[in-house]
Amino acid sequence: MSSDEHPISIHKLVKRYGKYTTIGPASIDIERKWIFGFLGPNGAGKTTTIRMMLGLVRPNEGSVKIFGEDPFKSPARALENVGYAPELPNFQTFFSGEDLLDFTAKLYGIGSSERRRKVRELIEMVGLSDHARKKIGKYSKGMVQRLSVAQALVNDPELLIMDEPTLGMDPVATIHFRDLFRSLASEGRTIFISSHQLDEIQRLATHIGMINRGQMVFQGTTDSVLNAFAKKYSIEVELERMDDGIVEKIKELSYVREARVDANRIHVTLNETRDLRADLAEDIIRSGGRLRGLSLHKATLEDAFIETLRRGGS
Amino acid sequence: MNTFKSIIVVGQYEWKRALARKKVALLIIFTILIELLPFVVLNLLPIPSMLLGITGLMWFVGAITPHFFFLQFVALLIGSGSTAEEYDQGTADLILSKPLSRVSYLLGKFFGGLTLVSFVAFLTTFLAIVLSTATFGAQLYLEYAPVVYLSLVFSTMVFFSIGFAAGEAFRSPSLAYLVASFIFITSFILVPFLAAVNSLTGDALYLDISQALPTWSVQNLPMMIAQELFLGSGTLPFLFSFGPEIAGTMLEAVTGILIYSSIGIAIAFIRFLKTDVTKKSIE
Repeated sequence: MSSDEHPISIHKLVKRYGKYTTIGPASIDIERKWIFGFLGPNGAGKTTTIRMMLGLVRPNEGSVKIFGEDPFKSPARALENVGYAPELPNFQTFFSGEDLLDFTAKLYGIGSSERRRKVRELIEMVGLSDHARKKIGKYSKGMVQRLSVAQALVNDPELLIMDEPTLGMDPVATIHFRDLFRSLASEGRTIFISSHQLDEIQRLATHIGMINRGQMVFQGTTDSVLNAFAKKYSIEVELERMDDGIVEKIKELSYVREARVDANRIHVTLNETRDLRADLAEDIIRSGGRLRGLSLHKATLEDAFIETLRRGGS
Repeated sequence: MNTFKSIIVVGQYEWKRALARKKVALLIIFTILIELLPFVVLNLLPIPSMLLGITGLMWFVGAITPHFFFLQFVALLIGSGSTAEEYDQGTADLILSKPLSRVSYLLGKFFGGLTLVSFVAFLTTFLAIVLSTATFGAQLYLEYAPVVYLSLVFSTMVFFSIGFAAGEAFRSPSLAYLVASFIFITSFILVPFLAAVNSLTGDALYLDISQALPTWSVQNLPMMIAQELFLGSGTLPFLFSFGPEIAGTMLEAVTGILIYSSIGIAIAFIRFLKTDVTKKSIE
């Protein structure tokens, strides 16, 4: 493994399933120390891309290299410095948490005394000390997910690939793991996270890539993605009483591109890159609406995600 | 980690995994019970007159009886579930995402499963020696017990490999077990049937076909070796009373075992090395 090799380098990767389903062509180059948030709707090709990165699926075209090695042809070399935490994984239920970590460490060729130390350390790190000897079959979803992260860290990986790592965890655990991932990245590790929890990704990721219909539709730093979408202003409107008639009238306004109702609020996307709160307030009052509040809405990753889907991934 | 160590780690895991399955544990218990019960009954009742002349060879009778049927089912069950259950339960992804070559994984699975079957054969052979000695007194030709045991293990490799290949080919444990069991039962019925037709018609083709079927080699090799080493012909006439005399040679039996095992192993390896790892389907 050369030190200047990208942890992940994907080039024009294509995977076909039958006549109609094609993933790709997708290209991504991930540099060391990045926390890369991999986004996409269900069925976009996220899992297939990850499985190609792990050598579980062979691409039809293009290439995937992990630290310069092909994970399908040489998994032993390519995955030596990789940890993988799948989403709610299926572990063998006859293992206890401790046994699973010990077995995983054996697969990395870690010696027995180092294994014992590592297992103890990881069990403590993920907060499973009281359940270390319990069979995994008796674990809750959150505990399984903690164990999934622990087994991915057993070899002190330089590259950590995680699929929905905080799914099923309570808020306290989510914060704990977010801090853990930040601390791992600060130690110089590269982290690749696939997730639907966009607020989590926004808080954590330094870089973002989004896949839709099998193709990468955008990638860049988190800030650049948010700035790109922040060019479109949006306003959140809160009414005394929700009224479908007013929503329809807002939609008809010339400077409004879209208005959608979310609980007791109307989320209004503008066609113009100006703060039009005063104009919108006036138009709502003129239409008979009773305003409770208006706020200019800064673009979030969720907005970027929805906007991309709305455009059909182009 | 070197290839040999990887194979050992996966092999140990395969033992734990197979033994954690209730149906495997149950079938092993049945096989041991089949071994135990006749000796318990013979201990309680007077020894039948037909056995009086061969009481010194009862260890061999005890060792070979489970081999004809139950041990083959243990082999089929362990073989067909070895890789197929990993796909079915969704556990294959996690192991194969570790730095482990595919060849090491499959060899570990194969040898792990085969050594487990060998251990069951060892248990039944060991029990046969202990129980026959306790029931009938000193046993004869025990020095040949290791050779008999090795012949049982070698011949059991056929249905273990067929199960292993079916598991990898179908990637569904129930379907693999069904197909592998069908091959065993069909062959089990056809071998004596075709041999009987041969003795009635005198047409050698029926005998040739029966000898080409997998159970012919599997069931006859240990008998042939025992005859060669210590039984001689006709020492245990009651063992042959349900079928015609053994035709064919030991070389043909060994060749049959090697061919069927190699085909099974080749199918499993080609399928595994050339295709994607099957993901558990979302139900």
